[in-house]
Amino acid sequence: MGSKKHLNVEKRAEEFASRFSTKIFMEEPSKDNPFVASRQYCHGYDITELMEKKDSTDMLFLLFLGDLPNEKQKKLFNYLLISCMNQGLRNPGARAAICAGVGKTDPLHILPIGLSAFSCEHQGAGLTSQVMQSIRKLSRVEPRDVAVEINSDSNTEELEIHIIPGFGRIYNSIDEMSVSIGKKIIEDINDLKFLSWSLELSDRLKGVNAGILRSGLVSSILLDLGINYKYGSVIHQLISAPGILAHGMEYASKPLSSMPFVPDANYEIINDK
Amino acid sequence: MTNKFQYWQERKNKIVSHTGGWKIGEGVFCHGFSMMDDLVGKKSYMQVLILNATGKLVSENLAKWFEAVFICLSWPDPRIWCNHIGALGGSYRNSIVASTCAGILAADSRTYGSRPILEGVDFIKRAVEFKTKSEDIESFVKLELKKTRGKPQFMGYARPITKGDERIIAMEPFTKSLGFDFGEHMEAAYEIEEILIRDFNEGMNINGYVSAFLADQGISPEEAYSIFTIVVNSGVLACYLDSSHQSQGAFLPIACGDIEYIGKPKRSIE
Repeated sequence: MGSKKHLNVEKRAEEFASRFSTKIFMEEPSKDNPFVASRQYCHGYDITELMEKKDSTDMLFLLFLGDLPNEKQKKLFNYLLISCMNQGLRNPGARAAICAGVGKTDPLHILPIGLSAFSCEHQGAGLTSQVMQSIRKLSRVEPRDVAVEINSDSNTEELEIHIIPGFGRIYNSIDEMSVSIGKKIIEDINDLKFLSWSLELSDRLKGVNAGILRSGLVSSILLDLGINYKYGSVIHQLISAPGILAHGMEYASKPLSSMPFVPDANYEIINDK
Repeated sequence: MTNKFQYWQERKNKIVSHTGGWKIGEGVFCHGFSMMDDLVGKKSYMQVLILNATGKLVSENLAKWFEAVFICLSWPDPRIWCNHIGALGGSYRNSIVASTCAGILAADSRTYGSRPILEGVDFIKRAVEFKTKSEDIESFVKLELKKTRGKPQFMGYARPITKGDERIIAMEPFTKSLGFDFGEHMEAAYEIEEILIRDFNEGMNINGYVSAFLADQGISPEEAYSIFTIVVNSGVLACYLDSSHQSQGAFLPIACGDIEYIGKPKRSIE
């Protein structure tokens, strides 16, 4: 293999910022030391005033949306946080965290490991942003018209199947928990445009053994909160963190033998060559 | 009796592997090889890494080529974004494994590190398909330029910070010394480079070179991405260690006033 004439390596006249900039946080320096902060402000609010008058839900909303939530937004955000905070031991994020915990991994690594695993497409946060885009676009059409277009095979060996983004089936069945959480929210909070639309579509998909999935539920709520789709997957990941960590830490003090270990008899190696 | 969840029922507490595993007392198996008998001491670590990533046991020379490219793709400069993360870990006294993993994760990026190889191999395969259909590469470049609003922002060409790429210059004679010839993808890659140098004064980067070479070796974009999973490992690690040997917090400290605040003015809760 020969060589060719290439460009000489030379620096581009590219301009980089001379310093960081942010809309989120301001720190006032101490009089004695510019590296030490004496006051901190989040989107203009003094942190100590936020501590005194607001709670962690308000703070989380403020961080990502730039303003404090009104009463309805706060209630909806709280419902979302509670419904996502723990998705159980079977969730891939929790299972990864448990492997780390029982394997005596440094406990500080358990959450990053679980969250990396939870960035998956199936039963994780991997598709949430994409689902938000899809729901926002599809919701310009009546749910009945969307449902009419859908034909679906009822048998599948896929763990989770999306017949349209955010809607489908898990383990070949309707995701009952996502449907019931969605209905509870609609009962308690009025005028949720995207969630109402999604639940009506979900209802109309029963005939093809499908309905709203967790990603569809979370996406609809995030849209109703006015959150940009680019933030969808990462906020889904963030709010699912506590449960992932709790399951991992539960196993951190247990012996290796406390987690099932598949016996050799049940381990089949197929040589495709 | 079958039911709609039988598929999962049958897989409870059971693993079916098409790769291999440890049969206790019998041996450890990997894509049909006994790891202790066939691989340890007989094949290089890089050959086994590629075997695990692709299912293919590549030649010693191809593994050497990958080793050389791994050296090209990770170096100890903490201004590179993944390395910067490693340096922060060292400076703020994080664990070396957490910091290095964080850097590797950062390189799963659309613009640098491991992920662009997906698009790079795909791009050059499309170029060759186009060329094979009896049309010239010049027309392919014109069509691609329409997608990028006339800018030569093809994966594998141009490069941030600098123009030109010293890594290609280092790899070319080594590739030749290993006995590899130009394939149709490498031919096409150089033809595209000639056009871009002529029209935009922009050249091929190491991604373009690697992508073309791998496509010539019959390696798919997904296989290439798998092989390069930890490609930035050594540079991140080196930057971690460099800053961990200095005072804590000494890596690019930032004072409060160094940050430009562009958000809402101070306000009170009503």
